[in-house]
Amino acid sequence: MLAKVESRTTHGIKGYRVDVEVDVSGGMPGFFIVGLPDTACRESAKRVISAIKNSHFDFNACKITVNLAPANVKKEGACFDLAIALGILTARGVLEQDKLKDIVVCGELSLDGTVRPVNGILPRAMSVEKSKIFIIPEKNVNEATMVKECNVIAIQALNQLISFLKGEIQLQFCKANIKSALSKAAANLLDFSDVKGNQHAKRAIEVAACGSHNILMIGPPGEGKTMLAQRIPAILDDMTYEEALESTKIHSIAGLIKNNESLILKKPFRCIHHSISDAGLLGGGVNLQPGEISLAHNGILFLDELPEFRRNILEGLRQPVEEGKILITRVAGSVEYPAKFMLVCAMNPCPCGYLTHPTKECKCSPPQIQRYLNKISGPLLDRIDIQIEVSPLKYSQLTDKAKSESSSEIRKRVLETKKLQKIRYKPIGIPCNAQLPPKHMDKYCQLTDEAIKLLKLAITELSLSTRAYDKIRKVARTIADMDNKELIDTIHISEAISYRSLDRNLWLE
Amino acid sequence: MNTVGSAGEILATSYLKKLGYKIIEKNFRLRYGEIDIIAKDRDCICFIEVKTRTSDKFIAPFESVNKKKQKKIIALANMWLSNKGLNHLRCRFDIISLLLDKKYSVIEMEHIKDAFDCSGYPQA
Repeated sequence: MLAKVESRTTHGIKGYRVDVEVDVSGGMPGFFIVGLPDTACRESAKRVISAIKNSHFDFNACKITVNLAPANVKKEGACFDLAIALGILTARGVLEQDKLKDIVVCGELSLDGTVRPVNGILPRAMSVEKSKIFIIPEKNVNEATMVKECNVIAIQALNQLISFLKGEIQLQFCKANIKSALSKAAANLLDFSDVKGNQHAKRAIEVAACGSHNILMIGPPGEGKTMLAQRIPAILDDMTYEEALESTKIHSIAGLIKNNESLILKKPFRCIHHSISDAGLLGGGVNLQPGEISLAHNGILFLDELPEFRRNILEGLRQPVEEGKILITRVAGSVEYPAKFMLVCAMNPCPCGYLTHPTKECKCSPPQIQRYLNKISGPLLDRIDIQIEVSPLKYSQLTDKAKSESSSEIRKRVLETKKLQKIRYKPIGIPCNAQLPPKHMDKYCQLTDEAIKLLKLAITELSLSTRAYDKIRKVARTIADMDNKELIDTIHISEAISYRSLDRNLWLE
Repeated sequence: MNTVGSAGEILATSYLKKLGYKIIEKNFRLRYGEIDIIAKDRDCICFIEVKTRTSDKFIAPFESVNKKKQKKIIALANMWLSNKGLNHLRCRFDIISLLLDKKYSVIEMEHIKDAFDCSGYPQA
């Protein structure tokens, strides 16, 4: 007898339909799964049979053939267990085929028949049509109900599902209050008032946060670069519903949504160690998993000790930083993941770290310094909008009892500026100045005459590239927004230019 | 002839008859092996391997029917089904394990239904 159950799989961050076809027949007993199953999928056989027997359904020897259609797509993971079990029981006559109409089933089975949670439920939920019922493990409910208008049924065990489909028990659709879920963002514990002095660094960070610009901090060791970077999330806005869905999808595919979490609300802050591999940063590996740049999508990617990263890893960052997405191509297939993030980098000016220190002497030789700085190539530096020096505090500043501004005060200003940008860019659909495409630049970045003259002077005197020209205008746009001015003026331009002069100072020594 | 083995097969046969199984064939032999008992349990054809021991140690049935033996039994079963034209019927592989005393009476018996299947072996 033949049975068909609908399920979903994922490729990248999208869900796709999979039809689980089960044929139970006479002949030599055995369990055969076809349709390019991976190892976890093939092991379904053992889990499903134990689950069926331990749920007290009759099970004797027979030949079971399971086809996971379409046949040319790789099927990964254990999420088809529940659909396969349902198919077997229907093919054996425990359930009627018409009871399986318009339902989509995903879930892993334990040997005792209980249903276990699956990774990547959110993209699957988003691919289920509104007319169908989505049957999922109970521990995935909070994630799935974040999709509006998705009819979700939560299941704990196999015989519960059979009873429900037979009509013996009633189960309600699970719905979540998305508005209240969005307002539940946790409080941040790190505060900007912990960082003393370095007002210009804090200002630069505020500019970076307002327009989502990439920022590089250079300075001697122990002066607060890492501390400053860790406090950036505290002054950012929370994600919108659409942004939260996108980021949650990526984290879900990577298996990072645990313990029945629903949505990721705070912008991701990914801090990576310089020993990270290519696949770890950009994505890839056996299952074409998203990398750190995709996990940082809509958030921040923090690279501490930038020159310690291997050069090819840094070069690999160039394209995603520019395009906001990454296409991973392997023999097994190709997949595109989004990767729009704010890049925050920190580094020392030389191997010993004290090149720019006002009092301590640098022990490095010039070729050593050159080699160190050459690790950061021109093209990568070019793509960083803001470069600042973090200088050591004087003793008086260290012991100054006066309180610096707190994160919540800075955050208020950042939110105001971000709101301005959101309203302005509504017609072209981008969230911030950093993502302004070249074709719209002239329309939205209008300069006063003096500002134009100053910018022209800077470009010719400092020999800045075309990309640098665009970046300066974007940063100046953010600074003007913070100043509540529509037209970009000379003070905005000169501040923006000051954020790009460091690469001239150090790199062209 | 192995008398212990034969004794075991006779005891197994009478046990199956008591349970209502219909004995179809005994000692189905081909050049490369033998199936001890072929019986019918309602609508299912059972290919039964009988293992008899007289020593104290009761060897677990699974240990004595290893992969090589399983492959042989499956191949034999396939041949038998094809010869009889019964490929469409449901079938299963059982193991009956017996521990006998010196006088050939039963100390312990175990009948494992559906002891192994054909997943992992090439299909006819």
